[in-house]
Amino acid sequence: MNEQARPPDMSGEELADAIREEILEEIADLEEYAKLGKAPPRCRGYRFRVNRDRHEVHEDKPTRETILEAAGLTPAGDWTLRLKLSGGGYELIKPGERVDLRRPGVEKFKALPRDQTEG
Amino acid sequence: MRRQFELPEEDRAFLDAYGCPWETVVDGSPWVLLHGFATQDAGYNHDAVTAAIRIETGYPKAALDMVYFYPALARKDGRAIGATEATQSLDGKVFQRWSRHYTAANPWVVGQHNLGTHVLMVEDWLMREFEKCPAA
Repeated sequence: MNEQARPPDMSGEELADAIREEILEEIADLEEYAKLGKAPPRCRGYRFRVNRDRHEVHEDKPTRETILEAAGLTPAGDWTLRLKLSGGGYELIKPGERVDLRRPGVEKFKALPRDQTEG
Repeated sequence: MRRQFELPEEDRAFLDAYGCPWETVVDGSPWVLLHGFATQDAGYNHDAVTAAIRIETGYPKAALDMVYFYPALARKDGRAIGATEATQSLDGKVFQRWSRHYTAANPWVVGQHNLGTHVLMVEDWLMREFEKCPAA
């Protein structure tokens, strides 16, 4: 989309968003973007690791439950989910909480079972 | 901070990022001590303690197990915490043992579990205490 094709009522920022959405329609691998220190663009899907395996979702702010379901870890209440930030620690994702996958540094997830026993 | 034995690189990286001052101490067994470890819930008698994890022979192929706290944790509401009666002398102090174990359904998996995942589970054990039995 060039300057001549810009609709007359579209601001520069809107135009930039339109271009981004037009071009970046593939799957973003979050670990790759985290290594580059860049925030992933808006994409059709987002690929990330939960523990060792890679999974995809097709929204940029999925819930904790959506991420666990994508990883086949159900029921979600049987698992904890933590977000690993590049160069940082693990942030606990609470039930119902949404994760912004386009946040810079989002690298991967760690899911751990909650069935350890006492005694 | 003492470093009386070496940990695998991924464990050192985890501990450095975790934010608690940490030590490796040999006292009968090799132990990792995390100082200022947050107890996750205001219902405990301490906001932070020292958490000790015994590094089992054969680790990281061998599973880690349980956690030990100093000073001992209790619930402010007076309710007992299950399977915490045993104690462990360590580094000149008496630690409270939280007897918590991996299950057959979700056992320790070599290459997937390590000191870092164990520490995250310890956080969850502290939180679950008040989920299963909310503060009175």
